[in-house]
Amino acid sequence: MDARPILLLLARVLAEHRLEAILIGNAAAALQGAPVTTLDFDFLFRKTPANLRKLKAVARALGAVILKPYYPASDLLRLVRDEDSLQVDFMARIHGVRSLASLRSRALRLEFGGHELLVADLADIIRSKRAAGRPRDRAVLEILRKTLDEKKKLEKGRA
Amino acid sequence: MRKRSSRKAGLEALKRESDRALREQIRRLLARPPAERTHFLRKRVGLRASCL
Repeated sequence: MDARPILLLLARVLAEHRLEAILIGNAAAALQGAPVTTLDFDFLFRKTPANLRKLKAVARALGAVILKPYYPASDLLRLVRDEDSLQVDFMARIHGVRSLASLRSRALRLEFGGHELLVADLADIIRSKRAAGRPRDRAVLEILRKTLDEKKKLEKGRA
Repeated sequence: MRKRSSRKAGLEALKRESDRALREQIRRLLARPPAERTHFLRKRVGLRASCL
């Protein structure tokens, strides 16, 4: 399924509510050429009272509800829209990434419908999946490593 | 012994073939602009299944 309409919507809604969030996970990897698929969109954000207010506004704009995490310490907030099963996860921390600032400094800025979407660098996604070490993360690691390898070869060829 | 080594060689070739196909798929995706690499979303179908 083409994720473009949802990416356009997410980029617009995040920009309109000034919620800074960085796209991570398989969706971010796919945008960088990795042949992987996903059911949801994952974002890293800073969990502050102001950002939680913005997140509520984002959920309203998307027509989604915020589900509270089963394990509150996980700091995972899940936006779910029933009509089309849209699922967008916002995390305050992820494995292998020390800070949002460091991730942001290396992130790509892709434009969707005139709005910028921050996308985590592929090397950071690999680092995070390696650190998380869940079977589903390990399953795609080889594909992500080969994508990074091909990407580097392409950049070297252009230079 | 000869049979075992030819099986091993066949499996090695299969591995290389799979790697080559994957890298080719990646190169095709990299040739497109990022905004066109958007066919990655799976949709839930029923309770357990999903489709592209």
